[in-house]
Amino acid sequence: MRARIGDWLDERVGHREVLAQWQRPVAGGASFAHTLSFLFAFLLVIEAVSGALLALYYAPSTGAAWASVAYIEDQVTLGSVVRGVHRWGMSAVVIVAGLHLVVTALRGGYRRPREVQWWLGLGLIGVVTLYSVSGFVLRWDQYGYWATKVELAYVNDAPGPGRQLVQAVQGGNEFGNLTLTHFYALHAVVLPIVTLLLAWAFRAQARRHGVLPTGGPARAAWPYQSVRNWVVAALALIALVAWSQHAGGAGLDGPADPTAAYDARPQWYFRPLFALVNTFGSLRTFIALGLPLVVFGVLAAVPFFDGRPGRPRRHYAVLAMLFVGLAGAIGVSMQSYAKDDDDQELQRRTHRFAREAARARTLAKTHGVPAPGGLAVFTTPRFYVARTLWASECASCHEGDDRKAPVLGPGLASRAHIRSLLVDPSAPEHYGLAKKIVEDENAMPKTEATGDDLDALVELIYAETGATDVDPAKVEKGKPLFDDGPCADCHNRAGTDASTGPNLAGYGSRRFYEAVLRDSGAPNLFGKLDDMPAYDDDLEPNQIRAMADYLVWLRTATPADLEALKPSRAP
Amino acid sequence: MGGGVGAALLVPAARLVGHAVGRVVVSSPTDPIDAIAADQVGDLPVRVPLVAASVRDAYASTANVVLGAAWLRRGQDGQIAALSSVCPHKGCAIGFAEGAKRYECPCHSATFDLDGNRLSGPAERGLDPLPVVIERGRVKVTWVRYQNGGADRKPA
Ligand code: FES
Repeated sequence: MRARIGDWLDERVGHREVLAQWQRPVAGGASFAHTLSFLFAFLLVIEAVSGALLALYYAPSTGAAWASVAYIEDQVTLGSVVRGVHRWGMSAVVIVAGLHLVVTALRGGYRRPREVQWWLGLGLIGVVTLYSVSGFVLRWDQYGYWATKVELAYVNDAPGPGRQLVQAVQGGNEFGNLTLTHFYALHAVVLPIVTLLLAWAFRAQARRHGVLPTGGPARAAWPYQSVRNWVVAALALIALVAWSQHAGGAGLDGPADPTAAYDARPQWYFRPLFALVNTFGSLRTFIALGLPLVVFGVLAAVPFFDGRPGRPRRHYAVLAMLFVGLAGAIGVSMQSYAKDDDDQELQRRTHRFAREAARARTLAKTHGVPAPGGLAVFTTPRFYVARTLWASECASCHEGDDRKAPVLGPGLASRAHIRSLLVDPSAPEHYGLAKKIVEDENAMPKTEATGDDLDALVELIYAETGATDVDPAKVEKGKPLFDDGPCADCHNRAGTDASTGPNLAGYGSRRFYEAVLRDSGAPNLFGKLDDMPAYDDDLEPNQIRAMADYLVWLRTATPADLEALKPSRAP
Repeated sequence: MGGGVGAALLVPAARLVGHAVGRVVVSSPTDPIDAIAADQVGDLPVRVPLVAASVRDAYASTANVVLGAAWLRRGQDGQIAALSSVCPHKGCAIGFAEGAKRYECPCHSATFDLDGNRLSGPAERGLDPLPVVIERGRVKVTWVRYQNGGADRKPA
């Protein structure tokens, strides 16, 4: 039965012939050295699969990019694991490609007739590094934004069509929506197609010329080579996941902020360039763009220099060049990393940006990210508008030791606050520092009421705030005390009539605060005692309302509640 | 034949790819942007984000977008001057080192004095000044982006 199905299929598909290739003895035999090209392909498949999974959740626009990556990282099931594998997998691809290059060079694998295969390999390495350039900007976090900005600036300043190239890729005059869509298309569509074509051509070359013999006995690919391949692939995958977990996954910085003095640094495989660029003053642009070209050019020319076997001196020269180059690259990179590690200021900034990132991601998780994009996440905490206004407009007079007006803090217009105000209106936390008020002949005297009477007066005023826990009996008792006592000499407690002191109708309610904010010098408020700016013209109605809501909230807030609102953002 | 078909495909494709070249895809109103109260600017520079009321970015129109930052400072003559935070080298945002009293770029260590003059590093010119007006006690700054690189300032 099985044989008949096999026959049926083979007549149509011809699979037996394909499978038979694995049975044929391979000259030179199986070797772990030969697992590298398989591993390279395997890792690319891992990249493709993890990339496709991420694409299920990613959105390339300035409003959504950072938000969607933060969502993947912090909320999607296994999202951070897949991101970690995707990011570090590309580093693994670069390492394996480099190893393959070294192993090939060690064995003179670039010699006739394998020149074209050597060049295809170099092409693959070049393409692979482009994934990193196009991939990191997609996060639209500080890291990706600034690293890419600098990379593009180098291309932009290159002679020739650099500027046009950058404009085509970034989509116009500035970083924006098109930058993300373009890089996304490059990263997820164009580069994979180019990679596939190159890899296919490379494989065709490998078939044509066969593997470089290792000197062992001829062995069939299956199982000898295949088992080795899969063992190595499995180990590599385990190592990749372990490393990614160890490194904290792919990481995600705070949302891209065009004002931030962020220390842009490239991926590790561009670090030698970064280091050299920073060492050689005036040659910078030449090094940044020219050096990669020179290196690739020299590597491409190697087959012409050492084109046939039997000339060990030439082979040694090639190897010496390769290893000196590699050692140099590693050396300058380590130096550059060490320099950053020693830079205290840089470390301080790095920590500050890390804190900011953590805060942005917590906010994104709790409140979501507003449509304008990642940076707006800092505006989602409660009372953001009010706290921002507070910092710019109010804090200088109502907070700190240099203040010129009453403290407006937690418990504002609570019973305790009203009581302490009545008992000593000229205390520094009340009007003590407001010169114009305490020095006026009409300055409010300390109350003479005590005991139950004071309680009743406090309750009467407290009732104006709109609080729901008012004791009506006390309020009733307070009314005559207020109306027939000294309070009423200066204060009304109904309507909007003018009076010497503020009309206390609605004291501590949103309406009251809005009126004070709009014009605290109105005749029914502080009148000629007023010393605070009128915000009617300078603030929008929604800002005034936000501020008033905040002041109302203060009544029931504790210092801990207030602490929880700040800092909305590292300065 | 094949070449003809290829060209027929390639030419329109190349034109589409090049659509954005030389085009202003991202734009915002060019009038001065309210930055900060004038009395809050002293003789040490303060960094103020410049927020455009609206930005047109390809297909999208978004309100309140941070364009970049200005460093504001009151000079000896009492006048407030603004410097763009964009490093003239490769466009990173510069910071201010309080100790050394100079601007420093975190990317390739270009440094500039308080007036924005070039001190050291790879930048080929000083920091780019931004136009400032004072209206009703508020500092308003016009955001201009210049091309990076080069000794002369060319608007981007
Ligand atoms: S971008 Fe400022 S020094 Fe390079």
